Amino acid sequence: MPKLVEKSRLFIAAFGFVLAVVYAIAASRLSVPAFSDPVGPRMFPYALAIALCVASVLLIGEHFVLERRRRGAAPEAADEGDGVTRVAIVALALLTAYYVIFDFLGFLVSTALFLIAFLSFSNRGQWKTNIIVAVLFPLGIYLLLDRLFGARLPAGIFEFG
Amino acid sequence: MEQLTHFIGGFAVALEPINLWYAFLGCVMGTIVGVLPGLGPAAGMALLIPATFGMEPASAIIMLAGLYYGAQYGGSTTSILINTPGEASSVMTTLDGFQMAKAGRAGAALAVAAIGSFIAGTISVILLSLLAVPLSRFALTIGPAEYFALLLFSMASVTSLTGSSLPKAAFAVAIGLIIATVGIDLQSGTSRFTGSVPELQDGVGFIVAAVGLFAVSEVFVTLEQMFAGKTELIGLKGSLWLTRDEWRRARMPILRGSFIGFFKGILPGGGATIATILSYSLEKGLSKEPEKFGTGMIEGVAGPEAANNAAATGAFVPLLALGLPGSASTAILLGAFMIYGVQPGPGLLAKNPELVWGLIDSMYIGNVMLFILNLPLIMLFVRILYVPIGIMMPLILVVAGIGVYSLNESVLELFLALGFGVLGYLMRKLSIPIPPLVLSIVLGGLLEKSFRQSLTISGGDLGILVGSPIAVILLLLSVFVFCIPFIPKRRRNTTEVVAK
Amino acid sequence: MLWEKQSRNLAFGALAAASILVSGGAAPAADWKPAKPVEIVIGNAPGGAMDRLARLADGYLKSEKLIPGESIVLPKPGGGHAVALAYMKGHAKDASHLMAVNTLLISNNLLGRSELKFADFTPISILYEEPMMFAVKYDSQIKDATDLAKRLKADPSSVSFSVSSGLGTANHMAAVLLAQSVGADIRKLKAVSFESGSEGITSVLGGHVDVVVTPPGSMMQFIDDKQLRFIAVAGEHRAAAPLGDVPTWKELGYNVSVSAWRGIIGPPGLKPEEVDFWQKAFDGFMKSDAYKKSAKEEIFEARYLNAADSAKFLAEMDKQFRDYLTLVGASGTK
Repeated sequence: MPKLVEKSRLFIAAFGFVLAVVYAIAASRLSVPAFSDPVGPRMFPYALAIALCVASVLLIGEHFVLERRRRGAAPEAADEGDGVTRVAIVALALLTAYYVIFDFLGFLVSTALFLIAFLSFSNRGQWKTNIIVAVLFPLGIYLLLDRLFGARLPAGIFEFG
Repeated sequence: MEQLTHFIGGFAVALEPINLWYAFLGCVMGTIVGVLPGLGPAAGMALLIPATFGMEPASAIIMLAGLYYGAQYGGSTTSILINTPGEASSVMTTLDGFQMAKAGRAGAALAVAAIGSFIAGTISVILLSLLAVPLSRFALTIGPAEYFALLLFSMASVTSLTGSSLPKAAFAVAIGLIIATVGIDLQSGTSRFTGSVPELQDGVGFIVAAVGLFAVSEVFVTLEQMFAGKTELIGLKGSLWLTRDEWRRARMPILRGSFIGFFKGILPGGGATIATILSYSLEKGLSKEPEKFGTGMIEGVAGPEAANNAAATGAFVPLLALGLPGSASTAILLGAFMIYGVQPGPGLLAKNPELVWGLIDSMYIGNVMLFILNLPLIMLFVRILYVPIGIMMPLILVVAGIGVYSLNESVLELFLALGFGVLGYLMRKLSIPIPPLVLSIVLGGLLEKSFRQSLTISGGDLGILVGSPIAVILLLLSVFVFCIPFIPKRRRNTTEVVAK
Repeated sequence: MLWEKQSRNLAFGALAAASILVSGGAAPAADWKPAKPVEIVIGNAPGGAMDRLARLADGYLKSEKLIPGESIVLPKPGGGHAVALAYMKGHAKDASHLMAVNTLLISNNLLGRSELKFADFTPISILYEEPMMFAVKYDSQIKDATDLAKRLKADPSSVSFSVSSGLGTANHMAAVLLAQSVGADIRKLKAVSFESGSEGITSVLGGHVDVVVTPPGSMMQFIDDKQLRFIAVAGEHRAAAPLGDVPTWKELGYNVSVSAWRGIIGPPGLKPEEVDFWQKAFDGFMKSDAYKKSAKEEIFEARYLNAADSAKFLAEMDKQFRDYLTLVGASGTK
């Protein structure tokens, strides 16, 4: 979808204007104590809303400069591939599920489950390796951080780890 | 002369076998927490403090300090290898460090970071030994107005020097500054944009933002490329070590970074982060090919890595001489001093010379230890590049998640990091540079704070902002730096080279 | 460390947590002792003044063998004690949890930063007060307290104050009360907030701000080094040596008295015998050598109040804080 990249500055600018307005409205609702500094809590957010609008205007300007230059030239290439893909959505869903069960099942169990699920997706077909990694990695991290450093990882309902 | 006696006496303390051992332990743990994204020196020290009870004060402080400056060595590793900075002061390293790794020069990038850290660490300990007291007086002359100018200059540098599209970088900076306004406003005491979530009252932390924006989004994008068949193992190309040419290019940035870092370190506020921005700006400004910055220039790794190490040492000046911590990690170090009944400040050198000089001298030794420790580790760490992407990616997510969780044991912050991951992913799709956003989140609060402190002191008169030569020079420099991208020569570049 | 995790996860996870903990925690009446390991919660990261207090108390409990099991100091940083207070609330009726608290217990709620009020918890004891000192740079033009008051009266914007972390702190309250008592317009008062006491002190050392209002602990070295000098203390009476020469605002005729106190609370709904146990423990703590040594080092004043008096004291502080908020026009949400 090279078109998305070509128009990206316009999308970003549009988003910038919307955000600036919403943010400025939220800022105007902040309570200001009668006793405050001369600037007050709202001024800086207002300035930032304006800054965001300026950046958005610059983006629109840049869009048209590039548009003119692009005529006849090859379309601008996206750096990171085009569009949102199924892969990213699956990864996001797995990560969300992991965080949901994190506290409840505890670090060791939830991480092992997450790794098995994720690896069977990202490292398909290598189930032996995947199971070894999914079991040993959380254990290693747990020993290093929880036991050695005393960082506090959730134990969960199984009460070990 | 008395100072020389103390200096030598300090080595007697630092070289005691037990203290050598604790310095070593501190350095090893510092390297570990530095390498793990999310677990920075502040968290590392906070976890370690309870374990030091019952130790001699000198030993405990030597160990904690070792962890503190040792973390600066490790901090670059994840920036270079997996594009995920573990501390704010490693964000600049991602710009060229990760690009070097992509080009097969991960070994050289890690090596120059270790060498730079060693040289900078040693130079700054020497400066600390010689100049701590006079420099602490200089630090006092920097007030809120001067800070504001310094921060503005840093933000202008970030906007115009990262990535080639100024509007996009400016957009990222604006969003970052907006995110930085979340939390309790210091001057008025008002809660801003927190939506009654107690976790947000202290604002959005660096780790939460960086883990999401860098690590999570990097994983998403890398997986996409993997599934599209576009990635292969990066591996290494050429020598593991620096080539002669690379070393020649890295020398001066390391020296300049050391001095910039040390002098920034003396000024509390903004920590080592500003030092890395200043060093990167300077190297880009001095370079004959500034347009290549962001594509894997070794100067862009050498300078900031030297600067953040030197700044970490420089921060001992206000800490020891004034009892003034300049960052979250030095604040915890200060707390550790107090737990051991040691009150840093003007009386400390007179009251406790063995402890202070023992600590300073242990830093000479610690730097050598870290250097020796880190070189073989480079060979180990570059192996990470050979782990299949499909396995590496979920492991990065797990480690990054632990970093976020261990901060406050809050699952909410995990979801917040996930939100930042989605934001980072979209930004990559739209070619908006991420480092300016993260740095603005880190520095935005300080920018506003120093501005409002200045105006409170002056009673609302803006004149205070240009009230001293230092402030005026920095403000003029900010305007100049911001205008660099508009200088016509550079505008001819039609292709976008966006820093990731 | 297994037990901490269990209790924490019960609190986080299950709704039934409270009832389980009650059945586990409430041993037979009369001579109650904590059956489970004791947690002393603090609302900050390790290393601060609250941490030192909690560790001092923890050390005393251990050395005197007052409790049969273990005890630990548990930092729960975030939201200016809000996270730790929520944690305490989640352990209602469980007397094996204590928390070291300060003025934030009152101010957070009145400023609308926390839903939880001081009355939601069980007061155990107030342990000490820190005198709130007014200090200036050693070579400052401000000669003494009376001179400062005069200047403030003539032009409230002629003097700037460094008030630590701003609105809602005892430091800020002291500066505001001074402006009020000289009859100046408090809105013209220049009160500059800093992130920490030491940052505020440094700004005065550097000559950027005129007066610093903060407890003496971190200033003593600069006093000894003749870089700062004290001009007044905002207390009911003069502080103990080495601060005995510093006049109170009250004796100079200005009604400026604030209290920066520290104390211990328990979770909501403790039984009388449980309160009694802890009250006795902290009574003993106040008489211990470790406490006296620490009080001398950090220059705070012992002010022991038992549970009942602590409750009264907190109510008084609540009232004082409400008045102050009305004065500065930041009336609380509750």
